[in-house]
Amino acid sequence: MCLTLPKKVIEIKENSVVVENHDGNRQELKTLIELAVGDFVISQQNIILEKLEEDEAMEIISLLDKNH
Amino acid sequence: MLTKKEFITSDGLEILHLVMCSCPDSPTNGGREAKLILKKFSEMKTDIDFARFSESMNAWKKKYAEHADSCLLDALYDVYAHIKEVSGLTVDGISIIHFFSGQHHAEKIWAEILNEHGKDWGMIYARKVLFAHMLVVMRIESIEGDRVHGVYEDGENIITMRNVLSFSDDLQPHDVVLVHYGFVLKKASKKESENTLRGNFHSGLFSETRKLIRDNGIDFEDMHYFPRSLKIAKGEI
Repeated sequence: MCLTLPKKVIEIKENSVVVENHDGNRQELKTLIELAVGDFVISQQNIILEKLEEDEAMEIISLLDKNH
Repeated sequence: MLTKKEFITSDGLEILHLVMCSCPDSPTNGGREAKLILKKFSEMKTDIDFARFSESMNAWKKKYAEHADSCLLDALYDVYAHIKEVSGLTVDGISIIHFFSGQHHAEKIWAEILNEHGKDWGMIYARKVLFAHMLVVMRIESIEGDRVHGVYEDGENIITMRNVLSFSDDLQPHDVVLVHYGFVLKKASKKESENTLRGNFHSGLFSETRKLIRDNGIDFEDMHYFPRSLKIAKGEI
C-alpha cells in the first residue's frame, strides 16, 4: 500500500539498498532505479519505486514531524 | 455449452480508475502504466471482458517477474483478485466500493503502517492515515476555491474533513460524494453511499479508527502526502 514516506539512501549493496526513514529506522530494499547515497526515495512493498527531489522529501518530512 | 465470460463493468472501471488517480504513489509504483491501461478502458464506457483486462495486467506483471515477491500492481491486481473471490463473474462499481471501503483494504493498510512505522507514529496520526486511505462518503458543507470541506457521518461518528481536493468541479454544498485519499472522486448515488457505509461498518478495525479520530477530525492539508496530492490535482504527476 502506498504511504508516501520518504527514505534516504545510506548504503548501496550489490543487490539491495539500505535506506533510513526520518525516525532513523533502517530497511534493506530492492530497487528498480539507479540510486546514489543521499538520494531520497519512496518505496512500496520493500521495493524502491521513485526518487524524490530533496525539497519535496523535506516538505513531506516536515509534515510528518508536525504530526508526531 | 456456453462459456460464461467474466466482466468488469464500465462503472467499475470508472471508480477503480478514480481511486488509483487519488493515490499519491500510483504514478510511480508501476502504476503509471496501470493508470494508462485503466484510463483507456474506463474511457471506452463499456464493460470489459476480464480476460482482456487481465491480459494487459499480466503482461505488465511478467515484465517485472524478477520482483515476483511483490507485485508492483499490488494495488490494482490485489483489488481485482480479491473482488473476484467474492463477486463472482462480474465486477462492478459496487464490488470496487466494497473493496476500498472494507476490512480487507483496512487490514492491508494497517499492516503497512505498522511495518513502516509501528510504534513511532502517534496513534491518532496513524489512524488518520488509515481513515484517509479508505473509501468513505462525505457530505459537502462548503467549497473554497479548489478545497472542499465536509463531514463523514455514520450514525455513530461525525468526522470533519477539511481541505479535500477534487477530480470533479461540478460540486455544490450538500452534495454527497465518495472520498479516497483526500480526493473527491465523484458524486455518490444512494446505492453507492449505502454500500460504502456498509463496507465501512463491516470493518472492525475501521470502526475503531473512526471512533479514535472523531474528536479531531481530519485536515488533509496536514497530512504528510498533501504536497503530492496537490501535484496530482494540478496534473503535474
